[in-house]
Parts: sequence; C-alpha cells; structure tokens
Amino acid sequence: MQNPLLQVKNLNIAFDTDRGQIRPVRDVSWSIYPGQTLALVGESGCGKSVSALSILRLIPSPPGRVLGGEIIFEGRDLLKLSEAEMRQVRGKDIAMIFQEPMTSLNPVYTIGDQIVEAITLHQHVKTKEALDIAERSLADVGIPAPRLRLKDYPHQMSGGMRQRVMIAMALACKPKLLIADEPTTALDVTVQAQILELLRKLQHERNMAILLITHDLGVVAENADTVGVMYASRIVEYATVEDLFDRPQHPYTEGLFRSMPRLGGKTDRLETIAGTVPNPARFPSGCKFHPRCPRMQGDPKCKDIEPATREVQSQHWAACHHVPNFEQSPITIPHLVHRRSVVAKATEEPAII
Amino acid sequence: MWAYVIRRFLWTIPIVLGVVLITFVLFSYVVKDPARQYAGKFATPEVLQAIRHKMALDKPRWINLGALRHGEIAQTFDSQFFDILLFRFPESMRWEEPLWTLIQRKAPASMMIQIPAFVIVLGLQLALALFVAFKRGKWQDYSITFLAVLGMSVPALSIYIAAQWLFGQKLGVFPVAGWERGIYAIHFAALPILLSVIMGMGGGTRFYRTVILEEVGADYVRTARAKGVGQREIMFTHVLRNVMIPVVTSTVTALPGLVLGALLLERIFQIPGLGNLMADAIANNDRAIVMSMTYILSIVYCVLLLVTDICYALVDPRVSLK
Amino acid sequence: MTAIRAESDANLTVAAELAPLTEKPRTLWRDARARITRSKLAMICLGIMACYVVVALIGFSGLLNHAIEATVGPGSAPPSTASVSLWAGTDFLGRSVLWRLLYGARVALTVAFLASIVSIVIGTVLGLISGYFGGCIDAAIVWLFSTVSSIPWILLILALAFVLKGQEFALPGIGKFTLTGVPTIVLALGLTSWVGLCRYIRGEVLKLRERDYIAAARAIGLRDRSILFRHILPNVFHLIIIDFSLGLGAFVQSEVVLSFLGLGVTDQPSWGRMIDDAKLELLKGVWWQMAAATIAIFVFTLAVNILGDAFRDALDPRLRGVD
Repeated sequence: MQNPLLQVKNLNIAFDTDRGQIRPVRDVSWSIYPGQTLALVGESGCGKSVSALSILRLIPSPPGRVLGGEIIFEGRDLLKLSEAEMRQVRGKDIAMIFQEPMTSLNPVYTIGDQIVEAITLHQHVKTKEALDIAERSLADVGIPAPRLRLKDYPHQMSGGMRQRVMIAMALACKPKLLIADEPTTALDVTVQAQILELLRKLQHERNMAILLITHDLGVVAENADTVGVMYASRIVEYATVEDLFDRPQHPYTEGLFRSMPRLGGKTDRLETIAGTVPNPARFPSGCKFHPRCPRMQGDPKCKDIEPATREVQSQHWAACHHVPNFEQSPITIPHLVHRRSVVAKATEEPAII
Repeated sequence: MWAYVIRRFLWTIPIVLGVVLITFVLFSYVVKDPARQYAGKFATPEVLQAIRHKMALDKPRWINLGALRHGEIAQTFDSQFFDILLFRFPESMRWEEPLWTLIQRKAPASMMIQIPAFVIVLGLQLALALFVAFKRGKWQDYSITFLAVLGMSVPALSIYIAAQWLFGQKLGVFPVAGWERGIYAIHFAALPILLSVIMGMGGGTRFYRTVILEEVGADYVRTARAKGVGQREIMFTHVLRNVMIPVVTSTVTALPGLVLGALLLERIFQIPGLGNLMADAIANNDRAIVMSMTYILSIVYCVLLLVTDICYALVDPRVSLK
Repeated sequence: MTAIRAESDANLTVAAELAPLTEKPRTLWRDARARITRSKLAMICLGIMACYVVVALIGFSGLLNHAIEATVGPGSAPPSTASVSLWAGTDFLGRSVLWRLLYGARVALTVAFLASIVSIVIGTVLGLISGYFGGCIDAAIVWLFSTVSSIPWILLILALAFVLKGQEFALPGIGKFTLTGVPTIVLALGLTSWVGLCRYIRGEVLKLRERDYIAAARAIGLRDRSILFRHILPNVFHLIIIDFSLGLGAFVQSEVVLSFLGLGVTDQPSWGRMIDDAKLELLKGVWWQMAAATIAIFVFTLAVNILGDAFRDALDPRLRGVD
C-alpha cells in the first residue's frame, strides 16, 4: 500500500490565554496521500485552521503550544525539526495559502518581488531567471500579461487576482502539498468557482496533494476526495466524499446536511442544528455534541464519556456512541487512498476577475 | 503622485493662515495692552507712545483702510496682521539687533545639541524597539519596556538639574554651564546631548515596539513565514518597510519635544541658543520675541509636516494612487 | 414532509432541554473591569492614585495652611527623624518640605484634573460634532485642529500662558478678575491639549455613523442630539477614559516645566516650584526638596501611566494581543 504523504497522529495543541487554557486541537489524526484532496470541514472555531497552521509550525509560540502528537511528512516528524530545517520545508515541500488575499500580501512590495522571494529562498537561481519563473507561475494561474503584472502592487489588483498571485507564489517551487485555508471564503461566488477550478487543474497537472480547509459543504462536494469533519477541536467523522454524503454516521454531519437548502423542495423554514457551538474555554463533559444531539435520548454515556474516533465501517471513521458496533470498532489513524477521477472541463476559460 | 503632492501643498495654505490668525489673536487681542504691560503702571503717555510705535501697535490691526482710501495700494498691507504674515516682526524691547540676525546668531548653538540628539535617539529607539519586538515575551522585553515607562515618568527637569550637579560640580566630568564657539563647543554640548538622548528614549521605544508588534502580527508576515522566510529577514525586509510609515510620522511629530528639550537644557546649562532666547523672552515679558519665535517655529513645523506627508508618498505605494 | 417535521419537533424538544443562559453577557465594560481588577499592578496603581487624591483633599481642607508657612527648623536643614515636619528637611526659609510637598499634591491634582476636564470637554464636543454632522462644520473643525496641531504644543502652551498671565478679564455678572497661577495654567493646558482626543473621537464617530443602529435610530425619528448622547457618546467613552488617564501625568509634568519658566504657580507651593527652587539649592548641596518633589511626581506619573496603559489594553479591543 502506498504511504501517506503527510500523516497527523494524535495532535494536541493548547493556547494559554488570560482566560485559562483552551485546546483548539485535541487528539486529531488524519492522513493525506499524494495527489489527493483532503477537506477539513467545520464551523468557525472548531480548530481546523489551527491544525493546518501547526503543520508548518506557524502557531505563534506564546501563547500556543504543541502538547503532543506527531506530524509525519515523508518519513520525518515535522514537530521535531529545528527551525532552520522547518524553513526548508515551508514554501518548498509544503506551501500554504490563506483566506484574506487583501492582507496576506505585503503592501509595500511589488508582487514580482514577493514571488521572486519565494523562488530564491529555495532555488539557486539568479534574479533574472527567478523573474522568468515568476512570470511563468503567473501565467500558470491564468493571469494575463504576466510580465507587466510583476511590477504591480497588491492594492492595484482585485481580490480574485490577488488570490491567484498567492497561489502562484505558493506553487512557484512545486510543493508536494498545498494547504489552502478557506481560500475562497473572502471572494465572490463566481470568482470562487474559478479559483477552485484552478486549484483542481494545477493539482491534476502536478500530482499535488491539497489540504482544503472550508466550512462550505458545496465546496467539499466539488473538490474533495476525502473529508474530515471537525467539531469542538476533534475529528468526529472521516470518510471518502461519496461515503460521507451517502451515509453520514455522525449526528453533527447529518445535521449539517439537513441544514443545507435543497433545490426544488419547498419548505417554510430552513433546518438548523439546535443550540450553539460550545465555547472552547468551557466544553461540555463527555461528547461535546451531546447538548445538541437528537440521538442522545438522555443516554448517560454521552454525557460522561467522550467517544474516540473509531473505524466504524471499512474506510469510514466516526466518533459517536450511537453508531452501530461502536464499542467494537478499532481506533486507527484515519487514512484513505482515494482519488476521484477528474472530469476534464470542455468549456473555455472564463474571463479573469 | 503629483496630484497628491499638490493637494497636500494646497491644504497647507489655510493651515498657515490659521497659524497666523492664532498667533495674531493671541498676541494682539488676548493681550489687552502690551505697551502698558511692558511699561508698567507709572509710564507717561509719551513713553507709552514710543513703546507702542516700537511694538508696531500704532498700526491698524488687520488692514490699513486709511492707505486704501488714499489710493496707496501697497500700503494697504501695512498692518499688524500682515506684519506677522510677511515675517515683518516688531523689534524686541530688549535686544538692539533685528530679530533675524538674532536668530542667526543663536541658532547654531541649539542645532549643535538638538540635531545630534535627535538622530541618535531615533536610531537607538528603532534598534531597541526591533530588538524588544524580537524578544517579545521574554525578560529582555519586559525589562526594557519597564525601563522605558520609568524613563517616561521621571520629570526631565529633575534629571537635568541633578545631572548638572552630579557630573558638573561633584564629579567635574563635564562643565557645569557655558558655551564656546567652534570645536570646543563639543565639550559643552556633550552632557546636554547625552541627557537629551536618555530622556527621549522611553516614549519612542514603546511606541515603535507597539507599531512593530502590530506589523509582526499582520497577515503578510504569516504568508512570508509560510514561504520559509527567516525571522531576521522578516523583521528587516518585510516589517521594517511597513513600520517606516508610522515611524516617519511620529518622528516629525516628536519635533516639538526638541523645542522643549532645548528650552530646558539651554536654560539650565546656560547655552546661548534659541531655547534660552525664548525662555529669556518669557521671563522678561518680551512680547516681540515670544510672538515671532512662536510664529517662525510653527511655520517651520508646518513645512516639516508637509515634507513628511510627501515622504509618505515615497514610502507607501498605496498613497501615490489615492 | 412529515418525516422532516417530526425531526424538527425532536430538535425543538432538545432545544427546550438546553440549559438557559446562566452567565451575564460579556460587554466591553464588564470585560474591561474584570481585566483591570485582575491585574495586581493596575490595582496597586489605582490605590496609589487614591492616596494622592486623599492628600490633595487634605490640602483643600485647609489643615495644611498653617503648616506650609510655619518655620519648623533652621533654613535648609537636612531630613531628620526628630519630628514629622522634618522628615523631608526644610527649605531655605526653614519651612517644612514635607508639608509643602503634601500641599503640592493639591495644586498638581487640581491642575491635572481641571485641565483634563477642559481639554476633554472641548475635544469631545468638537470631535462629536465634526464627525457626526460632517460637511462645512467638519471642514471647519478639521481646519481648526489641524492648525492648532501645526503649532508645536510647547510653544502653544507657552504662548497661551504668556499672554494669559496677569491679564484682566471682565465678565458680565462676575466682574473683573486677573488670571494668575492655577487658572492660567489650567486654561493654557486645557485649551491646547484637546486635539488628540478630538481626532480620535472624530475618527470613531465617522465609523459609527455608518452603523446600522444609527440609521435605525434616525429612522424612528430620534433627534440628532439624542443620537449623539445616547448612542454615539457611550461608544466613544473608552477613548475619553484612556485620554484622561494618560493626560494626567502629562499635565503634572507640564506644570513643572511652566513653573521652571516662570509661567507656573507663583502663589502656592507646588512641586514645579520646589524643583525650580532646587536648582539653586543644589549647588549648596541641598538635595532634599528637589528629591521630595521629584519622587512625588515620579510616583504619580508612573502610576497614572501604568493605569492608563491598563485602561487602554482593557478598553481598546484592537490592541489586545499586542501585549
């Protein structure tokens, strides 16, 4: 069997705030294989961004701390690398793009300068050659007149263009894994579609793995191969995207699907999941979802014992006491070798926004 | 960019007019009768008249309508208001020479202290702030920040007087007071410069630290880190350039502090500079000098603010295209 | 359809079983108060400030009026433990430095508080008006504070103190009075220090003006004045508090400078005067008067600065995370 490109094992992260310690990532495990897209889904505050940042060790060290766990990338535990070694990984083997293209680029330098910086950090090339590479990167992400754009400043570009620049910058050194933290949340819907399609295309061309952080199930459906659902700092469900949509096992996932508006059907009100997301400083006891769970039925087990993430069916993990055969299911690190076939788009490139 | 420069320049005009207005109103309206105030209660009318003439108080306040009526257009502007606007200051009661030569004579001494102090303070503040931001949360951060707060809380005057006594009289390392021309001035300028630097460090360091920390927490720094840029690169290439913008502003707005420093230091150390001139004028009720110094320094400050804003356009590419 | 309905009912039942909100909602003020009371340092500083206020009130009560003029020992006597009056030594006239020092608190705090009030009132009113009404009024006020801030503040204070000193004013109903000492300083400081606050408030009001709840308030017919006082002012209040606390220290220090230059308090003992006197005394080796005044000012300014920082960290949501 193929080895995973990146495997996170029992990751635990704590933040020391003046309100006490909060744990945004608790016992989180997942794997991602080359060329695969893993989506981490969840509402704001569930810990998905923090777990992504921790891969590149970008969590600010006061107040954040890694309490335990391993992040194995190509055989090495990233958590044990020195800062200098980590810098070699960042931008070269693993790259990351962020949610806010407006503020994620340095306003006082041209985008050419910033892309060239990414290149010269990891490749021994002269500036002139780096500029050529930068130009090609911009062309790859579909920016017209790339040579001229190199001299532009970030504020001269639209949000969609800026995100493309971020992608170009991240991919300039051909990383094996791209972490995309809500890359389209701050963009218009049409631009969103273009960016995601761009990512799919580049992934296919380069056999690049993508860790996609999002809260949008629609994005997941279109782009993900495997999905991890996060709630209250833990992975509560993990499956292939088809499996997840066909047979969700965890009540939270079910709730998410039920609350999505459906084309065609007529309802008076949209469904919601009762209650609110718990305050990380004050998690409920036992299963963190139990105050909102329709399956609970007063079961004391749900209030007292937090269910572990178990492989309840073949290739499908969930963390809920009320899944059939839950107790007997093994606790393993979620990992799925699965890639959907990419359907090539026959339409022409829409205009760049 | 030029549109911005021109706009900014045009905005200076009403400001300068406002400064003239304020100066004029202060010194000619609020002060009820400067001549009498100077001459005292027992002056005769002839003396009062002579003083009034010297203070240019016998001119009409705003505009010389009399001259206008006689058809002398140029003389219309022979009024107190325009005197100030056009830098035609009345003579001082105390000094015999015209104001401008007086200023020229006194300026070098002040410059010799203020300019080196300013440059040194700026450099040290930035370096220290960068260092402290680097070591954020560690003992260096806390101790230096603490020292800065202490430094800001001590009355500068006490430190100056105490230092003069300690280093001048007691230890004899520096001269107690006085001044000499040329190269020997260094001997006399050393302690004032040193004191100016020490007392000025605190506020700026804290402010720059805050600014730097705000930039360090910015999203683009996170992006740079994700690219693999090292901490030192981040500080000096990415953060510094963005920090320059508030630094430039605050540097210029710190200039009035120099004036204060000059006033206190020159008074205490008997340095014949502009500060001492001003302090003297205040003590001796010399309206002409106080008024003219206020006005001149304000105009200089306005010009410097204008220059700062133009520098903005150079440092921050976002400004040029607004 | 029925199946969905049944599930929603189940959800509703679950919702009813949820525990009601048992804690008070976190507001900016409650949050800030909690943060401040939790910080030992801030509480100590608050205590120190309270001590100063108490001493100032003692000064006001007249209890010290005799003590500041009475000769308690030989001129320029060093501090001794012989009697309470001599703990800080005597000045060149043999008067107790200690009592004069305590009285100085009255002067310092009066100047600081009154000047603060003047500058805050001016700054707030102008900031609110210019931010809220915009247009010509805004342009005029912006011009005004740009002009005032174009004059280096020391020069402005000095100029103002210079022209106000000894001026006779005739106000209808109050009669003639001459400005000396404390009122002069208060006016000079107050009339020059409002610009910073005015700018901040104006900026904040400009932002708040666009908020939906202001539009809603207007839509239900609230008058501008009501909107300003009930909706906007409370939301800029934190700026006022920060400005107030940081300004106190600056005003006390300014009093020192003004006294040194001859524009300060002349008729009562003040810390500035004590330091000014000290510069001659020091040459004779007499250090206690200056030391006493310096320490008094230092502790006050330090406490006020730390407190001001604590207020700012607690009240300005943007700044949290920097320290």
